[in-house]
Amino acid sequence: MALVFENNAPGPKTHVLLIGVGGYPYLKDGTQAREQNGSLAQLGQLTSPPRSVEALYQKFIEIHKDNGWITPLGSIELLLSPAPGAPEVLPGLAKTPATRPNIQAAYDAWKGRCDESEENVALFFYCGHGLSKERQFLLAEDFGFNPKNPWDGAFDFSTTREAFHGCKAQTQLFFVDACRQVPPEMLLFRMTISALDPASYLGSDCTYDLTIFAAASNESAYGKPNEPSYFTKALLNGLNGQAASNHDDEWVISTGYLGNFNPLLELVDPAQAYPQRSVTVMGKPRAIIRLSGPPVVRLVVECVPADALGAAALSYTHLDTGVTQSRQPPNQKPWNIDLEAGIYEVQAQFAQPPYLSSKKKKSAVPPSSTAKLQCL
Amino acid sequence: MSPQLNAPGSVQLTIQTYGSTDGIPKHIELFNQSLKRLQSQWISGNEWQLSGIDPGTYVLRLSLTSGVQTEEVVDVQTGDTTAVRMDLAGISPYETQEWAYMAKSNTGSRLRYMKELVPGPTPTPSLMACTYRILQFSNGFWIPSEVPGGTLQIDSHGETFEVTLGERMYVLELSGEQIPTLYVGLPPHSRLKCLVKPTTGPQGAVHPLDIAVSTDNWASEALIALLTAGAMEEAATLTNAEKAERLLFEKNEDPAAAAVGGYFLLKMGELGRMHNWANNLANRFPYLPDGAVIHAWQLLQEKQNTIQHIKTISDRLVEALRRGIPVYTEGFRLLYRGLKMVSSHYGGQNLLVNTALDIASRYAAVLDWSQETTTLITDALQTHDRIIPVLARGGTGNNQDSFPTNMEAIAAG
Repeated sequence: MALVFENNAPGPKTHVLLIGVGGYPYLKDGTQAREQNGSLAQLGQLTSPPRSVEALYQKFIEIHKDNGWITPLGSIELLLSPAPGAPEVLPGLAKTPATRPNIQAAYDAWKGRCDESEENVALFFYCGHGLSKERQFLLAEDFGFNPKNPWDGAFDFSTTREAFHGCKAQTQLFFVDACRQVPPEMLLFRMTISALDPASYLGSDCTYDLTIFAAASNESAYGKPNEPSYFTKALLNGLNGQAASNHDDEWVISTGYLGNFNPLLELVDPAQAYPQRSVTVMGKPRAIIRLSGPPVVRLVVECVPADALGAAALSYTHLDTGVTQSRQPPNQKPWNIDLEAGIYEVQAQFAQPPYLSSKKKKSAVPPSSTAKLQCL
Repeated sequence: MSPQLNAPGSVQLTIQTYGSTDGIPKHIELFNQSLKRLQSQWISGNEWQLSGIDPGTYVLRLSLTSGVQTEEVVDVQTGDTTAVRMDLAGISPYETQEWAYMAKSNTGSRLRYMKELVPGPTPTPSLMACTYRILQFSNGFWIPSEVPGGTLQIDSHGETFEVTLGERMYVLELSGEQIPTLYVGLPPHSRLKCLVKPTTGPQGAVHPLDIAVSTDNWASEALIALLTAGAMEEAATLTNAEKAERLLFEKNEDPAAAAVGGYFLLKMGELGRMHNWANNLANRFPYLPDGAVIHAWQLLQEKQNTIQHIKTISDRLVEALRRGIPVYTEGFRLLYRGLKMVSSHYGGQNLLVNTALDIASRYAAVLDWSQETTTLITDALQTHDRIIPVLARGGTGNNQDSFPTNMEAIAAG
C-alpha cells in the first residue's frame, strides 16, 4: 500500500505520486545482480533518489501544515527503492518498493483520485534511472530482471504523460529527474516499452500544464552521494521561495516561475545550468502554493576587485527587521546567503589598506540577487 | 504640513549597452519595500521613466529574455527625479554578439553576467573549424540552396554571421572534423543573425556547439525565448492574448512571428482569438510547416468538434512534413504528438499517417528539445518523399490538396 497520506475533507485536492528508485537489485552492484547486455551493464545503484523523495515528502507535509497549498493536499502515494547499504530514509513510514507492478497500481489509484474533479491538482515526481530515444523511458526497481528482455521493468513516460492529459484535473505537474545515458542498442532497435496509461486518442491538453524533464548524463552530474539530487534541491529551493512572486500583496509560488528551471539549477550548481539539462513544457501558469511570509532567496555578496574578498569582513542587516549576520576573513569565495527576501544594507569592512570599506543597500529578490561592493 | 513635503518623485533609468539594442525587449519592474510588484513594463529602448511615485524606498529590476537580471534599490525623494544607471555592456564579449546575449535563451548569458558564481575559470577550447551550408526543402528532399555557406573558426567567444533567405523552408547544416553534424531550423525571413559558440554544457554529454538564430522581429524572438525557457509568467507580461493575436493577424508581414504568436495562444488556451487565421497562415505560406501544425492543434484543442475535423487535422499534420520540419521546437513537439494521437485514432491503419509518424519519430530521436528552433544532431536529414504525392513530386500539377492515402496509390508512385 503506497498511500502514506490521505485527507478526506471535501473539495478539490492536490494529489501526489512520489517515486524514488535508487536500488536496482538486478543491475550492477545490486543485491541480486545479473549480467546485463551491452551498455546496460554500466547502470548501477543510485543513492540520491530516496533522499530526494524523502525531502519532497517532508516539504509537502510542511506546506500542508502551514496551510500553504492553494488546493489543499489530498493524498500522497509514495514508492521507494533504497540502494543497498544506504542509510534509512523516512523511518516509521511504510515504504512500498517501486517495482513496475507497484508503480502501475499506485499510478492508477493516484489518477483515479485526480480524476474526481477538474479543480484537482495532480503532482507526479520520479527520480531514478531513465533512458531516451524518441521518447523518455523510466526504470522501475525490477528493471533487468530478465537480461534478455530487461524492458519489462521500464515504462514509457512520454506516452504516460500524454495520456494523462485526458485526466479531469486541469492542473498537472510532472517532475522527472532521470539519471541517464542512451545505450547504443536503443538506437538500433524500435523499442516497445509499455506506458502506465494507454496512448490517448484525440483530446486537448490540460489547462495548467507544467512538465519538467531533467536528465543528468551520469551519476556525478546527478547529485552528491546520499543527498537529494541537484534537480530536487533546485525544486525545493523553488518551492521555498526562489520561484516566488508578490503581485497581489501575497507571496505565491507560480508554475510560471517554477517552470523557468535552469536558473534554479544554476543556484544549486552552476555546472548544471546548461540548456540541455532540463526541458520544460508549459501551458497557462497558475499559483499552487501560498507562502506565509517573504520567501527565502539567494543573495551573493562579492567585492570589486575580487581579491578584496579574502580580506573583507562582510555583513548584512535587514532594513526593517534589523536581522544581521556577518562573515569574517579570510575567505576568498563570494558569500552565498539564503535569506528572507527584502532590502538589506550590505557592508564590507577592512582592517587595513589598500581596500576601502564599502556599504550599499541591496535587495534580495527571487530567485537571487548579487551585491557587488566597490572596495577600491 | 506643506503640500510639497510629500510631492511624488520619479525614477529615470538608463541602460548602458555595448551598442544600439533598440528593439530588443527589456523588462522593467518596480517593487515597493515589501517587494510587491507595483509596475511591470517591457521597453524596446534603453531609457525608461516613471513619475508620480510616492517618496520612499523601492527596488527597480531589469530582466532580459536571455535570463540576465539585475536590480537596484532606489530611494525616491520628494519632488525629485532619481537617476539609475544599469550597465549591461559586460554580458557580451563583442558588440556584434550583444543581440544573442540579450535576447536568446541558450547563450549562458546569466552565468556570464553573474560570473562570480562560476567556480574557477572556464577552460578555453582550442579553435574549432567548421563549415556551414544552407539547405532548402524541395519536394521531399533536402538540397543545397542558392544561399552561400561558409567556414567558421570558433574560439571561446564564438563567431557570428548573417544569412539572407527567400521564402522557402531552410535549415542550417553545421559540420566539422570531430564535430557531429548539426541541423538547425531557420525562420523564414529576409535576414537572419546566427551565433555559433562553444556549448556551456559538459563535454561529451551535449553537442560541442550552441547555435543562436534570430530574426529582427525582437518581440517575437523574446516571446519564443520565454516560451522555450518555461518562463510563462514573463511571457504573459510581454504578450497578452491580444498582442499574440495581432502577431498572428499580421502574418503577411512576418509568418515566423505569426507562428510564434500562434504557439503562445495555443499554450494559453486562447482558441477564441485564433479565428481562421491559423488556417490562413497555413494556406498563405505553403512552405512553412508551422502554420499547418498550429491549425491542426487549434482543431485538436476544440474538443467538441475534433472528430468531425479529424481528416483536416490528419491532413494538416502530414502536410507539415511535406513542407519540411517545423522551424520551432514547439512546433515539432506538437507535430509529433499530434501524429501519435491521429495514428491511434485510426487504429494504426492509416498508412500515410503512419509513414509520417515514422519520419517524425526518427527526427524525435535526434532532437535537442531545449532549443528554440528545431535542432537535430544527426549525420544526415531524412528524405520525406514517402509522403509526397506522386503529382507533386515532379508531375504536371501541384495540387497538394488531393493525395493518395492508400497503399496502392503510393505504391504506384
